[in-house]
Amino acid sequence: MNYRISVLIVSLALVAGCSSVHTIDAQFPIPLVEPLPKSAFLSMPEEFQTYQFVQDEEDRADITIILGQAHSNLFNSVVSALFTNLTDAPETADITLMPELNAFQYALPKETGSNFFEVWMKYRLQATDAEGEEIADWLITGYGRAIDERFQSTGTGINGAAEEALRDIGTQLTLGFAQQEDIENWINSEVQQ
Amino acid sequence: MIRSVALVSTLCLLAGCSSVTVDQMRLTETNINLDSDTVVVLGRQHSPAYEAEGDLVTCVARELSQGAMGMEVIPDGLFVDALYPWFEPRTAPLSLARLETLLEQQILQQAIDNFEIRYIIWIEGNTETTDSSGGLSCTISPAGGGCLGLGMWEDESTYEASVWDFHEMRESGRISVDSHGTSYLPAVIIPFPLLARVQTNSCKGLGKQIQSFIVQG
Repeated sequence: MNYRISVLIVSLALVAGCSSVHTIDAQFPIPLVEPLPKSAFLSMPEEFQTYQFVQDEEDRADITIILGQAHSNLFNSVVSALFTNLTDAPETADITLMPELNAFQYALPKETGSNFFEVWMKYRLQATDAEGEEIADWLITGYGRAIDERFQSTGTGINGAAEEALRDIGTQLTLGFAQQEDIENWINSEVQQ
Repeated sequence: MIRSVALVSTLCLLAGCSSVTVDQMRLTETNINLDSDTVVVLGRQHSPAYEAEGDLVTCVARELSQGAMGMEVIPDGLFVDALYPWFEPRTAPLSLARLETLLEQQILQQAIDNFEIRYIIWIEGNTETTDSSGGLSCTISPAGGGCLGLGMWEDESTYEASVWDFHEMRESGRISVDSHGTSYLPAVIIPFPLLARVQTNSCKGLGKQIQSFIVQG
């Protein structure tokens, strides 16, 4: 009897489709750049550090992607390389950086007909000076893809694509930070003082 | 004769059928000290059309490190992470001129020097399924389950490796490999896959050829 019930449950699950939860598990290297001689505070509220993307559109399978830890790791790695000192309090920092996830999208190979899992992310990065005055407000869009290997799970594919997208965000943040006009003006004004 | 043909056909069916063609173009002489020089194998990722699979890159690196002509190969992940974000899909140098420009940054030059790299080997290409036919159906019921049918598909792979001499700052040559094969999936209750190892065969062909290309000069 128990056997029949188990088979029935498995069959129903297969017919109805299952919701799944994927945790993005990623560590990021410290970028290889000359740091700015400034101190920085990285403001990442609890909501950002525990962020979960929930996919509940009717025509797609329910998927929850836990991103909070991974993107917190990324911003910690990048900001610690961009400045000589990363402080624990905004009062002691020359600049405060506040990342915020504005958009997250993913596509599965079966949806696009391609051979890739794909992820797009858009972050807004606000920067304020020691007095709390806005220095810059910057949008960064990252893209990552992972090849759909035969017999690979959806979770592994999404994890690979999301990790690549986060690395892409880190690349643009690292190489583009000092090139942002507002940031460049702030650096120059600090040098003059 | 008939027995030989039957034997080859049977083996072919058991392992799936595949064939491999390797070509080489030498531009300059190569010279490596197997005791002190290292190489790194990296996959091109700037376009989905050329993106080599991670396991193919790892497999070629493993082939290069094996045998009497085996050389020290820096793991691609270690190299790319140590130089982050300069070898990412968006930033990796597509030409030696661009690499030379990047190396004007002392911090980057120093990081690469630490690896004692002699050759950087870039791989691009992919393996894809070009055709499939047959059918397989599986059922599950309270009384049990099973599959019945025959599925088959054809895989083709094309890869090209470009060998950059990091000391001389010039391209040493290019090696390409083409491979194709047919895999079968017969099933009578239980599926019994007979896979043509197209990507693996490409990896072995490419790896061995790059190794002899570099060591034998």
